[in-house]
Amino acid sequence: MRCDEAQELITARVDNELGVDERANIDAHLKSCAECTRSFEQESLLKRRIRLSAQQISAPVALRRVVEEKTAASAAAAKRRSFFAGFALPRWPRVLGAAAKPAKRVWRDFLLSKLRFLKKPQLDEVSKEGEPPLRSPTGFAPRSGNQWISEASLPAWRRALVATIILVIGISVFYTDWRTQKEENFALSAFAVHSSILSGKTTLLRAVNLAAMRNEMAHAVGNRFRPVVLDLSMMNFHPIAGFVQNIGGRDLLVTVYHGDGSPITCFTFLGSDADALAGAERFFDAEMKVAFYSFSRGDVNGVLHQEGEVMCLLVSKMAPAQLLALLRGKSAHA
Amino acid sequence: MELWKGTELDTTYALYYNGPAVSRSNPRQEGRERFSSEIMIYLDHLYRVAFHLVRNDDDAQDCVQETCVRALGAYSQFTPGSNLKAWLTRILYNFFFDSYTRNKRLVAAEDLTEGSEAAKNYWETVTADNPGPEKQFLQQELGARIATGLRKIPEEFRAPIVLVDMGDFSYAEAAEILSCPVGTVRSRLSRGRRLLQRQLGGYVGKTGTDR
Repeated sequence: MRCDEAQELITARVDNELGVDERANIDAHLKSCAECTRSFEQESLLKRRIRLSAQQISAPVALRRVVEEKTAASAAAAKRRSFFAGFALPRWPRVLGAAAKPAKRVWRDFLLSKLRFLKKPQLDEVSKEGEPPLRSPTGFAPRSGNQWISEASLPAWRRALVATIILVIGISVFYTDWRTQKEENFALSAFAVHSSILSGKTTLLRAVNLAAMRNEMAHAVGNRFRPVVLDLSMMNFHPIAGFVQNIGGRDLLVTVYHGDGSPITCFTFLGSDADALAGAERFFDAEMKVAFYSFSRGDVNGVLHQEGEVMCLLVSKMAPAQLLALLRGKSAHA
Repeated sequence: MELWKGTELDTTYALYYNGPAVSRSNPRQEGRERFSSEIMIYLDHLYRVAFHLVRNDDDAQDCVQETCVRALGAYSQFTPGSNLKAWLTRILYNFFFDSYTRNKRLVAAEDLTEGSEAAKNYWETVTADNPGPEKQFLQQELGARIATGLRKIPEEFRAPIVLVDMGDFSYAEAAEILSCPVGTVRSRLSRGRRLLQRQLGGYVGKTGTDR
């Protein structure tokens, strides 16, 4: 093998991209050629240097923020789209199929009416003098000359279409508003539960056996999910009691932690990120690959995140940053 | 405030149950959330590739933003479980190729002099880890020299270096991203490294930062 032929093989050898035969050939050549061996070593070193230099570059914070905003906006848009997709019920294709036929006829008549203006009237197309012009059921048949049908003579189907569109838009707006209201109520209800615990309206009895308590809680929801366990012992917080709360038809497993500072109520439930309050701040932990949503009402703060298959909402008067730090460092699923 | 009364768990609290809870989780929505999160993981990688392709910070940021927007728009075309990093890099490279290479927008404005605005921007992108003053200085100097050397290499030889050496892609993955045969990647990489070696002169091997 000549040295100039070996150059590419040296490169591939450095990158460990050679087959068995090629590798044996180049290794044999390197043993016998000091120049190529030096070239191989230099290229290996260069590769390591390039990789090292690349590790020093990271995306600017501003870029990270912009991309996060864009992904959040995209997710919100997708959510809106999925809302409208909810209207795509199985019977819609049939409805559309039934509507397609008359629509096709309307379109054909419309085109014909346009074409008739362009071309010279044929003898058989001209209505007899004195008779009203022929009118197709769709209303697009032309009158004599270049006159269009007046607004007053709008066909009934058009008025029906407009009414339907207005009705659909009205229902959509109402449904969206109602849904948002419902979601707001969910998070706020969790806040109310926490406030109720703090004020003593909800009386808690100290749990002696925490494992038994968790089993009871899981059992109460048909073992579909278990309460999230947070190890907050570093902050001297320990689970004290637990119960099941139903909010808006959904079951939440409520665990109360008590320690140095304002008590923490941990809600475990089946849900999604959409259960965060509107306007929640989103934080993404790249290491844990988890998004946290932080929101507040008055002096009560909540942090929501997904923990395995379930959602975990921490509610406390503790500062949001402190709650976030607790979650990022200490969570472990039961 | 005395919140906790009694000594035993009153299990009656836990035993009322009003039928099955309705899960409001939406698998498609969750998949999209996960996808968005994973994009953030590769942001540093995308920025590195873009920075060395377009050779300045502003355009690199534009490239990465556009890549993310396109990726989110084409979310449905991505097969979960396949190589997201390669998929994103391909989107980025296609955008770079369409916007910069084809129009020669950036090539005309290229400034290869050291100490230029782009070189200053390079320092702004260097992470602020602290490996010790001397080592840090040598590493940063090495990084700057490699960045400057790469700027002087034509794009066709620079791209394989950026993808294989910086992006840790295999030849096959790089070929897929660059839409060219694997053999072409190998030959351009070989030529590119030699060009870069020439730009760096005898600098590589002197810094003592090699691991």
